[in-house]
Amino acid sequence: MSPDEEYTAYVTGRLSWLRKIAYPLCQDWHRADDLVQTAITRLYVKWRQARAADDLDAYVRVMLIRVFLAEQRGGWFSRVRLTSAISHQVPVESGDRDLAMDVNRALAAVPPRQRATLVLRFHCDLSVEQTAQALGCSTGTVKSQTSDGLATLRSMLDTPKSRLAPTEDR
Amino acid sequence: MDAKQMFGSLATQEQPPTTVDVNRAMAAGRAVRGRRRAAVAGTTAVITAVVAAGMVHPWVRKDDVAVSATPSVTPSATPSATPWPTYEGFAERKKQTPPKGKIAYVPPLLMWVSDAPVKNQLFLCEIGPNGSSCSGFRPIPAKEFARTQGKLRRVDVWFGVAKDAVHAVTAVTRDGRKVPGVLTRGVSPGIGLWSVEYPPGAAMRSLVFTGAKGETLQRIAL
Repeated sequence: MSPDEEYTAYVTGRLSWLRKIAYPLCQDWHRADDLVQTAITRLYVKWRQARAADDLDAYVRVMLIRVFLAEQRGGWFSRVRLTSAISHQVPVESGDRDLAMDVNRALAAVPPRQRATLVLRFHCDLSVEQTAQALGCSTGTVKSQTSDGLATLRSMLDTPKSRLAPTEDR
Repeated sequence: MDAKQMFGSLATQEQPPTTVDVNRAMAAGRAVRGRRRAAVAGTTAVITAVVAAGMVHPWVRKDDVAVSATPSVTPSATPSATPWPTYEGFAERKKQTPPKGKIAYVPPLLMWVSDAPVKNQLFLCEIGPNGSSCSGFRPIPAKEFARTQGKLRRVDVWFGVAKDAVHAVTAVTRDGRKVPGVLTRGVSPGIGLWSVEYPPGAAMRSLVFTGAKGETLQRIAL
């Protein structure tokens, strides 16, 4: 199997997984697609190193997070929509839609780096150490970012402290 | 609801059709790889040209003997009349006046042609022992083959432009000695750049530009 075929097979199989990570980061499926498109482009450029990595999924996840954080650092004018055709959101049940809207609103209020920390910790189920490694920061920073992010989520969702994830890590 | 459940609710949402295109990513990735390769090749070519020119070109020593410099990667080890310049500010100058074609290494100068802000003029940019400068020049008239663009201060170097018909440049001193110069042809379309470094204190009489068969095309009195 040639490197290109390997790349195509891997990316095709992991596309849905990547989108599911990208979506909580930006709360918009179109932007999530843009993030994924940029990440898999970078992955193609670095495919030789990536395929030799011990954990390819972790490698790609870090790439995606870095694409997201880099995009946040750039101005709005530097953001490029990589797609021409815009698909329509799939309708969801009204109860789910309300919940999703609340969660999206709350997540949008969390600063990008804290949001990335929450996504890695609770969506990707990474440990504090793994999250620190992925974000290139200390475990202490991960704990404080998690705590601050959860506090923002709590205030946005009006959830009592005891009902949102405990922050015993801190 | 805890945080895991909250993110879980997002994950269970039905995804709309994706617009991510793997083939487009591969095409864009190939373009990035190509640009990086070109950038690396360009940098390598300039470094190689600078090192190779230093090793191969005849280099006039202080005692007025033309020698082929000893192959050496260390510039300071090369015998030369002028200390090897550091070309400080090269990147900045190149950014301000981007080369229109190649960058020529004509010891001790790096020279290139750039677009001038004035109509019907080009810039000849050089960087060497005295720093860098750019000066405008008009096209060489049909009857002429070369032109001096200037002489470096405190360093015995003349430099200028020549048409592609010119294949060599030689300086002639008042006592009849000949000092070969260095010429790089085709730096920009139809334009070559040259320099002559002559022995310190020597009185120069003229510059002689010769063609492919060694015929004299033009003499410029100094």
